[in-house]
Amino acid sequence: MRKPVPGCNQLILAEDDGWAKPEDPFVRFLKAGRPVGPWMLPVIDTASPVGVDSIDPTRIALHLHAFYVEELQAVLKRLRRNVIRPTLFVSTGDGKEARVQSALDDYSGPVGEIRAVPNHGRDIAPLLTLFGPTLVQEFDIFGHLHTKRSLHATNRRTIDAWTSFLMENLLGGESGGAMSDRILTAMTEDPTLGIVYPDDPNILEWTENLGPAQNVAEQMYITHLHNHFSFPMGNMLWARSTYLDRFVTLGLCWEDYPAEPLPIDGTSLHAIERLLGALLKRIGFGKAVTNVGGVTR
Amino acid sequence: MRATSEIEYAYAQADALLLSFRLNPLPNVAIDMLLIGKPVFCFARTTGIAGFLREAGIAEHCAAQYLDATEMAAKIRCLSDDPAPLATVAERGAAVARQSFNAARYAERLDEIAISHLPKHRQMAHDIAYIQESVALRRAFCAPIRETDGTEEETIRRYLESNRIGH
Repeated sequence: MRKPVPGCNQLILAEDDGWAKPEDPFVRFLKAGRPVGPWMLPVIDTASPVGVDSIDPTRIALHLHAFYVEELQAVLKRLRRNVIRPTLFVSTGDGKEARVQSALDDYSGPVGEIRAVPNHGRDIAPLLTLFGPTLVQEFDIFGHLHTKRSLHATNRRTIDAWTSFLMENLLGGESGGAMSDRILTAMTEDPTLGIVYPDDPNILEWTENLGPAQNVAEQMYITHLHNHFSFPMGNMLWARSTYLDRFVTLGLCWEDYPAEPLPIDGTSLHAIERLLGALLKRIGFGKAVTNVGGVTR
Repeated sequence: MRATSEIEYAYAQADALLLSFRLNPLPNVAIDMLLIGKPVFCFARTTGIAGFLREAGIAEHCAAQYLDATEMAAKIRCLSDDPAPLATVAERGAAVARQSFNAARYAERLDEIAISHLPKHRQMAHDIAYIQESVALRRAFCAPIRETDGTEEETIRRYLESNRIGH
């Protein structure tokens, strides 16, 4: 199922307005004069303002989970489209630290730490368990990105398109320009924004992950999860520390994450990815999505 | 038995039909046997005939528990030993089969289904026209990357259809 426009989730619309209506929910939304509500998220796009003077760059960090170190240069190239140079925290595979260090030689911003991690917990364990406590204490806003790569040629085009979509939205590039500066501007101007992530045109919801999500949510004293929501599909985002702190303080240890090889769905990692987008209002935050015209998947 | 052009002869020679397989939705041999008033046996939760026997009210005599060969043998023996219920089952099966497996009724039902979808078809046309006129749908965003060559109407139609079927 696809969304009609960036920011819109027609299933949330339908749930609010009633399912048993002949017209499509998007048509009803248009006829009603595009009412404001959780079905339409604010969109940060290439027309959104850049106001870096109001941003304290020392309070901005970026976590890169660089399992594929060779992809790091492309990430840094996109980052150079922006004025703000976040403090970098990089997790990588065992024995790859020197290659990461070498790749970061040209980076003109600060490098906080480079750490080798086990192949366990994908990008989420390094985010929440390894760097999370430092990030939420020492920074106001931080990004989270990871290198993606398909080892199978048949999936390569799909993964490349998805990676390009995520990076163009969150950092910028030829089409997006200075997207991370725009996101950081929006988050600085609106302190209620808990996270910002690319609006994936596809609608995906709990699938096999409601049970694991309920287990995690209960640890956060949240008992009811909504059926319809959007989340940072692909788990790349910019987050406010005070929001992500609720996930960091779950206190997950490395052994709490499921072991590789992971199934394609239905693990606590897939659940956390969804909860990052599903719990904002419950924790008292709002969210925004990004869109770069002409970049889709 | 191999394929034969003398299937009517085979029906006439048979006292009953046992459908031992699980997956054929509505085997013609079973329909033919029911129509000529011969009992058809099958296992519950297999084929469309199991449902037919239930709806005709004769499953108690002709449908054994799922893949329970012992119970099946008992049911066949029970009917073959007692002509009274055998006649009732055969008569009831034939009567309900004549109502159910009727080409004219089948065509009528297809008409009913088509007519019931007309309002949805009209609604779809209305929704497509409204979205097109409003220029509100972002085609470059909504269309999957592999389908960006299609027309605007195709993108809107696919969007609406996927909402309707839910994926």
